[in-house]
Amino acid sequence: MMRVLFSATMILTLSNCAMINTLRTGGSPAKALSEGLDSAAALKEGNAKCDALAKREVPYEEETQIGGSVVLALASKSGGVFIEPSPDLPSSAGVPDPKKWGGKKPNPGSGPKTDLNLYVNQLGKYLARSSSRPFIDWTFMVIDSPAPNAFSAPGGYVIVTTGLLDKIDNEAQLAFVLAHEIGHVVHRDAINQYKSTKNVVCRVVTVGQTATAGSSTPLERDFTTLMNNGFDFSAVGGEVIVKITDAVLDVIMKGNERQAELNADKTAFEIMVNSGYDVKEIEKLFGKIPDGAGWLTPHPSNADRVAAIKKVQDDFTKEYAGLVNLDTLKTPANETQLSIVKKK
Amino acid sequence: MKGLFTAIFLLSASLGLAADKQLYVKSKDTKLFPKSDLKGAPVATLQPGDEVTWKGADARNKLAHKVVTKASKEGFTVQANLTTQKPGQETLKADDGKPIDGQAFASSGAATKALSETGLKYAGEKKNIAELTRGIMTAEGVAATVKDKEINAVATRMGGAK
Repeated sequence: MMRVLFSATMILTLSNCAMINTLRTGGSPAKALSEGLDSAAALKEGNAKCDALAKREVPYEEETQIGGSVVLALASKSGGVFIEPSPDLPSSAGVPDPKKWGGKKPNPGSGPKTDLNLYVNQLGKYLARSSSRPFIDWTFMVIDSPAPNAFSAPGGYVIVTTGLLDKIDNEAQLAFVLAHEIGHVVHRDAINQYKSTKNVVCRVVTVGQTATAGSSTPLERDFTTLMNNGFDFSAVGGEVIVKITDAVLDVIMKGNERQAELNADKTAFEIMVNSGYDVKEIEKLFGKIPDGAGWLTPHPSNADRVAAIKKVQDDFTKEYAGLVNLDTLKTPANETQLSIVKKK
Repeated sequence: MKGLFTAIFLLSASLGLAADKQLYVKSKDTKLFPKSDLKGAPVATLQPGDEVTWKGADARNKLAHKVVTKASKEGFTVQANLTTQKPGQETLKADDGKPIDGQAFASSGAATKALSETGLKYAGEKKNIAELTRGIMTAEGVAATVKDKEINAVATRMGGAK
């Protein structure tokens, strides 16, 4: 209903704009009306393209392209990566050349921070095997930030902060954190936010181009290029990438819908069980993370999430009776791996 | 007739049968063994994403689960090699647009990534995130060193049959 009202308002507005412009320049009312109707038709056609764009599946290639900029945007809200520098990358040469380094993986350095990232990747990739996206190229990393937080980005990026690792007692609790974020990637929550953002930007560009009778700003031209080339970002400049990425970031920072959080918890529960981790640790972890601590915000209260997970557990044990004995699941310690981030 | 029902019931009980459920293989080269002792020549070797019908845990060896493959091969494996999560489809490129199953996606060679050219363009516009960018690129390098061998080490530690 709101969309219909919005579209109707825009059509009337644009029709009036064309009429006003024509009248201002001395044209006839009939011609003005004709141009107004042309504008309305162009707007309708443009919006139809935007709707189609919003429904179109985002292929993995596009997901990893936008995932790269989104993970940078998300991480820039926290701290640097908790890792020793790569010997391949000079430490003070600015941003590596996109044409030379885009899609390239430098050799890692060595040291305890790198070892921690290695451990988180081994665990994360093991957990991802039990997910419904086992074949994508997952990247897990630790960000240096005291805020207890974890987040994910399109393309299989999962980030956990040193502040959250400090609160974690064992590998089962870390498994839940990583599996929850895997859940968001599996459910394509950020991708859906990206698709919505593209739709909004598309409509703004359509209105702009219609109102100005086809003339475009560089930003609008780049977006049109993306529309026409299937969102191959290599063909456009950085400005449109920043606009789209920051718009996606705004939506992500507002947090997932309540149901998206509960769905990610459900997936995390199943991944933990399938991977052999003790799900009783989930409730213990929630007891250590205050509500609204910035971890996966905004989301249901910890009590609501624990209650929902218990329901998931009941359903799972009924549906898969005999598959897993929940009393024999494991809680491996991980003092060695996490000692570097533990407060003394 | 009553004897037949009794026999079916006893057979079901010996397998600890629940209703048939679809499960999915998650470990590479998962072997199905003919008996619940998980020894002997495998009746089949399965790959991640393969669908099996779960028949339940064995009554004597609760770690061994009987499954039937789509090719009707029956055998036993441990639960740790299976998952309840069905692998989804992936779409490769915008120009073909058709989703393909995960195994075809994995074998296409497209299932790899590193910090993208798009990400680096974003960083170039932002100016003040060069160090963060190098950190994320390095993290991609670390992630790339974690392959099947390293993942299998975790799987073995958690009870997977390797």
